[in-house]
Formats: sequence, structure tokens, C-alpha cells
Amino acid sequence: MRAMHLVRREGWSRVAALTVTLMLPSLVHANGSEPAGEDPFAEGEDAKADDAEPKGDDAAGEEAPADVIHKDLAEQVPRLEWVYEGEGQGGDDKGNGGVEIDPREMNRKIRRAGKVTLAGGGIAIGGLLVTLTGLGLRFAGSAKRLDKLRENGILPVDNDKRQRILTMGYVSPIVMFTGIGILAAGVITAAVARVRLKKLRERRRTSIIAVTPTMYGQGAELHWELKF
Amino acid sequence: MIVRALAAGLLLGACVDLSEETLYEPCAVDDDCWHTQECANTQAEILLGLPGLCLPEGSDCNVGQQLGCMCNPADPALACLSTSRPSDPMMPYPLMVCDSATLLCAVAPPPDNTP
Repeated sequence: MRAMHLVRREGWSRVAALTVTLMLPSLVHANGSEPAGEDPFAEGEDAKADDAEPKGDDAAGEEAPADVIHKDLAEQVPRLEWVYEGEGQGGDDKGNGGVEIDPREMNRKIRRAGKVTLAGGGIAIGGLLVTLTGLGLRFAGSAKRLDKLRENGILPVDNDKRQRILTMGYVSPIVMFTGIGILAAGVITAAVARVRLKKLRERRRTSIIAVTPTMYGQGAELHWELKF
Repeated sequence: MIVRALAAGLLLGACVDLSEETLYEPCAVDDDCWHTQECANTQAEILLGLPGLCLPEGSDCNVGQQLGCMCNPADPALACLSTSRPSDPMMPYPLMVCDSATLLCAVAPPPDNTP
């Protein structure tokens, strides 16, 4: 009976020792899990700031999915970025951290800016023509031409030419200032649209190719994106 | 600088005013005068077949210097002794006198040449 008890005690101690041996790596891993959970690619202050969110997410993640079998593998799954509605940047004013605009939409904007530039140029040319017409009327309705009509120093009465000269003299400033206004509007429109067009073209040029290297716990991925 | 000067010259040059050219010029209709003027033609002038006169808008006639217009015999400048319109050798303006009864410029009676 005593011998059997000893054998049992010895057996239990062996089981306990085996259990401790098996659990030891897990306990060690559990103690060192917090530093290991940090993003190895984050640097400096950003890393500290970024750590705040994953902790919260991890906490939420521990609660929500109960059917995760391999938690360590699940942690390595890349998280999808947020896609903001209305093509919003989702980041700061400089466009950092946001979603890029659809290239087709970008091309549409570029085409629209090009059309506006051409339209502005057309308006400017139209304004120039109207201004030149006003200038022509200015000379057609000048005092010199009226003086040429004089006969013995007196203007002819009820004369069509006299009336036409007076009408052209009256209308010329109206036409000329209208033309100058249209010209200015066209030039401003074309200039603004051209600046916008250049900016859009520059944006398209710089964002046509995107190479994104991503490092995982036990691997790496190179994401190559070409827009056309 | 040059562009500004050109723009200023263009803007100033664009403003046309022919009122000085047509003032006191003979006319038949308002279109014969600048848009700020009107053709003042008195009844007496119409009866004689004389053209009117381009005058600033609002003035019915040229006081003391136009046939059929008011006058003042005491004031030599308004006594119908002269006319402001340019002399036309083809259609000379008749000599006028200030009628003291009606105080209107009237055609002067022909000079009495009888000895």
C-alpha cells in the first residue's frame, strides 16, 4: 500500500514536471508577448502613437472573433485600409494617408480642365475681336471724320453719314469696354484652368506607379500597381 | 509700365465726346446732334424753312440768339443781335430784332433805303 502510494506520488510529480515543462514556452511567450506585439517597422514617436490603436483593436479582437484557431497567424493578416466615401483623402490636407482618386476620374478632370482652358482662350479671342471692333468704331466715329463732312464749315443737315458717325462715336466705348471685359474674363478663366490643368497633370504623373513593400512576421510582399 | 500707359491711353481714348463738334450746328432731327443734345427748332424757323440748332438737352431754344426764342432788349447779349450758329453762305440766317411787345426774337424789317 505504501509502495503504491509512493509510485502514485512519483507519478503525479512526473506529470506536474511534464506539465510545467510543456507550459514553460507558453508562459515565457505570454510574458514577452507585449514587446513582441509592437510593430517592428514603426519608428520613434509614430510607433508610440500607433501602438495606442492596435492595443484597442486587439482588445476588441479578443472579444469579437471566438472562432479564431491560429491567433498568431490571424494577427499577421494585413488589415485593409479604410475606403472613404466621396473620394475623400481621409488624411491631412496634403493628401497623406488617404485614398487616391480614381485615374479615370482624374483623366476626366484633366479633360474638363483642358476644355475650360480652351473655352477661356476662345472667350479671350472673342473679347479681343470685340475690343478691336470697338477700336474700329472709335476711329469711324471720330471728330476728324465729322469735320471732313463739313461744307463751308457747316455740317450737312439730315445727313445719313453724319448720323452714322455720331452713332458709331456713341457706341464705340460701349463695344470697346464690353470687349475688354470679355477679354479679361477669358484670360482669367484660361489662366486659372491652365494652372489647374498643370496641377492635375503633375498629380497624374506622380501617382501612375505605386510600389508598396510590406513586411509580415515571417515574410514580405511587394505590391506593384500601375494605373493607366 | 508701358502696358499700363497703353491701357490708360486706350481707356481714355475709348471715351468719345462729339458734343463740342455738333453744338450750335444746324439740324433737322435729333439724330443730327450728339446723344446729350437735342435739335431745337422754333416755330418761326420752321415757317421760314430754316434748320434747327443742336443744343444741350432741356433747352428749348437759344435765348436771345435764335429766331422765335425769348429775348431781353435791355441786355445786348440777349437782344437778338447775333446768332450762335455758324454763318452759312448758302442759307444765310436772317437778321433779328428783339420784339419789345412779345419779347421774342423776330425777323428784322428790311432796311429802309428810300431817300
